[in-house]
Amino acid sequence: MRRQSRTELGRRVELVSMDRHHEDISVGLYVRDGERGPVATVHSYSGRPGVHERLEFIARALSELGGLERLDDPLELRFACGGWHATAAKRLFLEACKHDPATPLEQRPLEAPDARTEQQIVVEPLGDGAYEVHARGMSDGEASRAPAIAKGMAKLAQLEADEGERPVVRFACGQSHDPLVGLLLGRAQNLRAVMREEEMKASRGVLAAPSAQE
Amino acid sequence: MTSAQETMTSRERVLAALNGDPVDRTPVVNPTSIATVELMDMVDAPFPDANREPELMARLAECGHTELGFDSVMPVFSIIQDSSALGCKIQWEQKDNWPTVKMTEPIYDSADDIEYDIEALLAHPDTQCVTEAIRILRDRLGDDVAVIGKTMGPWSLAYHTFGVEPFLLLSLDDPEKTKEVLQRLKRITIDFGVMQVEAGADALTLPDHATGDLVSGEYYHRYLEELHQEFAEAIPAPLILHICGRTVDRMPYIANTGMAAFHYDSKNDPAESMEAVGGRIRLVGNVNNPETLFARGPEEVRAEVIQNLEAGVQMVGPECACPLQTPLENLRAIPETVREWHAIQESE
Repeated sequence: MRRQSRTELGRRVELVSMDRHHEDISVGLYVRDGERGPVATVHSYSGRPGVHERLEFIARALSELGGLERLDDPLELRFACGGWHATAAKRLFLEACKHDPATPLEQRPLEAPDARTEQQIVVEPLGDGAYEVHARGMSDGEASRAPAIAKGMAKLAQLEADEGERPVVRFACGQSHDPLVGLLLGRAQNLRAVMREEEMKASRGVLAAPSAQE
Repeated sequence: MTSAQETMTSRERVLAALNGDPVDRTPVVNPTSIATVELMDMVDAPFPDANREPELMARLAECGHTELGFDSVMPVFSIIQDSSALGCKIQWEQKDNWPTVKMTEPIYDSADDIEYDIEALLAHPDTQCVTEAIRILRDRLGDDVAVIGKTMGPWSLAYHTFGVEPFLLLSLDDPEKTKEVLQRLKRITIDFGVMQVEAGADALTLPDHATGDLVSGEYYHRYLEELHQEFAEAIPAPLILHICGRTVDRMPYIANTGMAAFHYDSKNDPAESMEAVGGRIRLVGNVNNPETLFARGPEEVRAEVIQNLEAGVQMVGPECACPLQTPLENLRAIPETVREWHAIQESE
């Protein structure tokens, strides 16, 4: 595989240090300015066999799971809105790398059963990049899970959250991103687990002084 | 931005700076590891194997010069090679994490326990791996690039062999026994260092973790200053002392040791540190790892590099071993900034 230089790739947005689905290679998502807005590239420095095919799968997953548009280069993508949602792109990239290649890539619906209650969570597109979260099937006196899930979605992708009573989140670009919202809906239900996973990821590979080691 | 004209090889530049001689530009030096998971992929030399197989160790270290543009290469990525040879239990980990000594399972309880066969220790695969990697690097890079080895100081070895807390408690309770521990361990530091110099290392990093968070400057003076003087005399190569944390309080003592340089942490202001050493030892550092190199971008790296250059710090590099997930663009920003800064100085 050709080794790309930094100027071609741009800035690294996220890194998976060990890709469990392909020989523990590291895979990165990079972004650079393109003529029609930011361009993301899936890249690995590994020259091991099958790497290009693996990167193509991840690029396809970014497109199928998160709605990114694929460009002429099979490893390059962009958001359809022409902007760049950095935190959402990180989240999507991590999900794409985790996705078992043996299972089909399918866009997630804007509706899912809540993992903690019997409630059914539905996300309604309001237009202009806004989405309202609803909860259905609450038992008597049970609090709606919708506000917590909206809050989780806002945190996971740094979306704007309305300050009113309705649990509404919105993309700053003002355009719809339904596939991304479907993906976030699943993860927002257990925000604590996501945060824990991120903390563990951040601490790996950082050498502590002997005084701080066990 | 064009670079200032360079008239020295990387090796000449590093050795001159370590010796306090004039240089054509500030050398970019890594007394500790700049290995990352992306570099491991680039040359197919992943951890933990790159800590145990000489060819992989050399190949990964070489990237520091060939891919990142540093003036030095440093193959001893971890701090466990000598402790492994000594019999400490090692958690070798995976590609994305550092091997560490299991300090919760110490091998010594008292100074009297310290017994080792130095010949066997130097013949151990984990110490031999280092010397063989140095030989490979010397052979491949010739006289162009400075090859830096590493030998751990007795304070760090005591942490590894006794455990941090027991050793620190001993240092409080029984200064004489503490000194005896250090005396008994010091031969490892010297002999492993000498072996690396004989294999072709131009200089050695000597980490001795009397770190700012646990040990005072007075402690350094009491327990380590003389020992470090002894190392500077006994090991026939420039030594770069490495101690993490806030260390300005002990820099005047460190400057007395006769070592060539002190690798200092970002918790110390460059200008304040230069003043503290008073020109009696060179400084190398101190770009922050966890916040700047790991988590921010090239602009923030540039700012810290320039702060060092403007303070007159003689060699610039990361403050300690870089996180394995450090973006390459941030590491490349260090030599790029040094070259740009010198070009500006030259044009003014």
